[in-house]
Amino acid sequence: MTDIKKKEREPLVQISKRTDMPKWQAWLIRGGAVIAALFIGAVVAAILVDGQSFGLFFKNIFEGVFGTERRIWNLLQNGAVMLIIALALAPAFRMRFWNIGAEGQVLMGGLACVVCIKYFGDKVNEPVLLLIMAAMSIAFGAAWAVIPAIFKAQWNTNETLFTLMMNYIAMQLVSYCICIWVPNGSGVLGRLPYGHFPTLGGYNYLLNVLIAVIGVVVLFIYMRFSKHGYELAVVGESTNTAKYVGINVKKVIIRTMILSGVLCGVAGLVLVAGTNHSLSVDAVGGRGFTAILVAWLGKFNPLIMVGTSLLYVFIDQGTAYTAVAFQMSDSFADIITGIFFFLVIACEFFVNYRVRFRFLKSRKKDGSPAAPETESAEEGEESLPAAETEEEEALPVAEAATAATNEEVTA
Amino acid sequence: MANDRPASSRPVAIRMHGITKRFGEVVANRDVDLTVYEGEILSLLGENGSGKTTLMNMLAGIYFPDEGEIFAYGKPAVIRSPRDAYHHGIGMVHQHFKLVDLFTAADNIILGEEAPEFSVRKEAKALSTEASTPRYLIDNDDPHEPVKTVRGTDTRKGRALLVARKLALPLKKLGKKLKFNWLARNRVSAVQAVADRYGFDIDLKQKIYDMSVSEKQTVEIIKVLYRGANILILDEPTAVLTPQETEKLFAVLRAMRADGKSIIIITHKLNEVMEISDRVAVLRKGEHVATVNTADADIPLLTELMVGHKTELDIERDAPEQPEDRLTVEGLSFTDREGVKKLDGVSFTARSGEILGIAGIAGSGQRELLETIAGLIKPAAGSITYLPPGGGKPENLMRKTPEQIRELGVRLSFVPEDRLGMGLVGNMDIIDNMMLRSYRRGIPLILDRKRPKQLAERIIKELEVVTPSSHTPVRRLSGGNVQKVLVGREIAAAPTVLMAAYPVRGLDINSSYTIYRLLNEQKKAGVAVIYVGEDLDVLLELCDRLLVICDGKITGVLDGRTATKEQVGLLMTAGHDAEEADKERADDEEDIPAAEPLPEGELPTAAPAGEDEEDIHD
Repeated sequence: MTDIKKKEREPLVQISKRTDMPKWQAWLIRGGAVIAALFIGAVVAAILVDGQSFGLFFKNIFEGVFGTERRIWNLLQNGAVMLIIALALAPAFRMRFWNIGAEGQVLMGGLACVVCIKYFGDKVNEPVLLLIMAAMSIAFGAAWAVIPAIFKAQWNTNETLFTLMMNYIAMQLVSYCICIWVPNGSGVLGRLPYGHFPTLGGYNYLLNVLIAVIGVVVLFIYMRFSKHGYELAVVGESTNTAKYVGINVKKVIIRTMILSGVLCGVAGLVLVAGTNHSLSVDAVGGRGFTAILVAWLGKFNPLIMVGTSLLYVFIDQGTAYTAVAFQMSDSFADIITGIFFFLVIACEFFVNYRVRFRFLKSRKKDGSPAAPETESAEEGEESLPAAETEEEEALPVAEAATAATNEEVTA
Repeated sequence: MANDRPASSRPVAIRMHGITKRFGEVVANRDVDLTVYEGEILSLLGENGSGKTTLMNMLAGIYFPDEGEIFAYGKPAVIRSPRDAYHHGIGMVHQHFKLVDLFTAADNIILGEEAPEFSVRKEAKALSTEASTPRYLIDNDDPHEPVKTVRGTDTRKGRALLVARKLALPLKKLGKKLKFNWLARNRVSAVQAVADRYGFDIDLKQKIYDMSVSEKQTVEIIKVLYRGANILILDEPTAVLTPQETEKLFAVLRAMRADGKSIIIITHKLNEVMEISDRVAVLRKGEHVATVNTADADIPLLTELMVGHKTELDIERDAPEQPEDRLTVEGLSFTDREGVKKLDGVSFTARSGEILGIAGIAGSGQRELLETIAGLIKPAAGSITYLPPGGGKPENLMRKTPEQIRELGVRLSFVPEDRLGMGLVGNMDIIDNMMLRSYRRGIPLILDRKRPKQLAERIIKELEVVTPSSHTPVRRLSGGNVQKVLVGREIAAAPTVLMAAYPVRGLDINSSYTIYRLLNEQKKAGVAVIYVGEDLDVLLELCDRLLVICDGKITGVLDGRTATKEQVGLLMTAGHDAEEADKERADDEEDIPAAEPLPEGELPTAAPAGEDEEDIHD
């Protein structure tokens, strides 16, 4: 009986889902999270270094990103690569195809470029070479993505494991190729003499950025206004519905993954021809995974993803510079990056849920016998799939477990 | 509650008094009284949605009643969780088993059990006494010497071992707290004892994923018994069993009854009710209609109690205009992945300009039938032929995908049972949901949202959909509005065949009538409407012809204007015996009034049997 008594009291914290938040308010919360992260970062800096660094922290972070023209181009260039990979992932994730193989797909795109440079570099002129490279990297990236898609469509294999494993195959292939190309055993492929992106208007990385911008526009239209985009969204939401309206689910899965692979191939091209002019096993450096975070934070909307990828690169670059400026180790940068992402991700909780504390409410309810009544009313509301003017679904913590077992409302 | 003569001498196990439960505006149970005695099997009988499972869920601690009291063995019981229910000796076997697939049967049964308090001090004491009791006899050859006994503490090794075992006790306690499974292994024998006692035939070491449905059910029952339940609730236990397995289960249930346990079976299979139970409690539309002794009851009486008498609903029904055959289904058979025959030689014809109703207990194959026609299920055998209006070339729809059916130019609309899981996409707004059927039209590749938007706004206006805007995700709408969006879209496709599965389930009266009106409009427009429903009153007033399905077989085709509820009820439940039962019923006509006074005279609609005959002659 004692634990029955306990349950009748109102919970200390009541969390309820909310669906009515206006958009600007949600963005205010997200902006607030970034600013809060900056402040906490400054406090951490003040504790770890000295009191003065509280103010210096802000200066360093912005100086590290916007201090010189070169740094700004770095931001844009890194942001472009990140953005293209995130764009590649967006349609797959929108379709609920958990493609965590972008790392490998990008690497294969890069490998295709290097192969082209190695075998055609001195035989054809640059523009032709670049075209061949583009075609090959797209083909390789698409091939790497379409293999798990075919298996998923035909035999419903687990795409998460499959795409992950494909990453390791890609890495081994690259290291094998490098071993062949670099006979001296150093394992480092030097700077490639051919196949560089042309400099547009005197800027080295302008073409990279332009490709990313074109990608954003194309993908935005594809996802929002094309029939393909609509089909993949329906497949992602419910394969049952897709089958019911006669969408060929297998075809959509394969088609979407080809698109995903094509964009990863483009990222590989940008990486090799536009930035590194070389290739190593960790050329992608985990960006295939980070892009998942970037795409998800951007809600798979290409326009928002521009912001999230730039934010990521901003944090990455800014904290790295700050660590050097404070003569701290890399771990300092990692700590600050961690704080940023913790807050940016956690703030979504406050966008989706309303949190009320018992002690902040009016106190006259305490001890009144009305408590069990309200509880059962909430239970009823929750059990109904959708009540008429439903503003918030009550989710008292104590009842979440019960709700899980209530599979049917009626017998 | 002295109406149950043979049982009333026994002590009462459970008494539910004045139980009411509401879900929003829907009343699932209203003022229900129910008494269960020790050592009896009580059947809880009722149609789909009559509130049987809800009532039992309140005993099992899944729901909490809004009003009313529950007494367990004479004492008031507050049951707020399944744990509380076990505390009062109540255990329930749900329709959907709640087992961990990767665990063995024994692990599943033990899972979640509260371990007895483990006291380090007591255990240490026990160890000391164990060690200080003489354990070894040293047999020395000299008969003059006294026989020497050796205690565990006499040797150095023994003392060290004792200390070590004592020191390990806190670790053991921690292990028990964390429920390390290997510590619970010795309880398997206790589980086995329970299984043996009632004659369950099961291998407790087998993993759940290797088990058949019947074995899983056995595990669930043993679990409940092992927890010490004296009152067992079984929710449609035979729905998933073969006849042989059912017999086995019944034998076990009888053994439990002999052991003094109370058993409540939720069911709508009348022959099983007659076979196994001592008493039958009948629920209709959430209310307790009657409780009768099985010995005093027969199938027609129970059917009548269950379906009640016809209530006038005032749904318009015009005579079909020039009906012509539109869809012919012949010998359709389908066996699902678990090997259950869901459709068994189904044949019928749907005609234009009429509403063909399909009646049956839930899960008798209605869903499979419609999904087969819609091309979502590939049937094993049979044929589906579409006869286009105006006498065009007949099209074979057998084993065609929805895509192919559409390409043949067959305008087949389908309102599925699962509205948000199949018919609509919950996270998309009304406009995007409108496009589901029509998005392929217009210029290639690019979507046209203009026409769907107009359609959405037209539907919102004409069907009075309550929504903030056409950009609201449909999952945020209430059930009735969701259904209006779905039906509106399906009708907007100008179908020639319209199939609707339970289109008014969960809807309020007004929305329901809107749906009836829409179906009638389609009928007038010459559409062949197929309506799967559960409310017999509605089926009888709305449909021109009524198809009754039972266990995947068509058990009867009735005229909606002349059929009676009793006829349909009998065909639905004991399909093949229906004719015999009809005869029996005619013979037993005089016996029924004798059975009536049983439930405190509370047979609100149990009017004299003469009224039925009028219905028949109509």
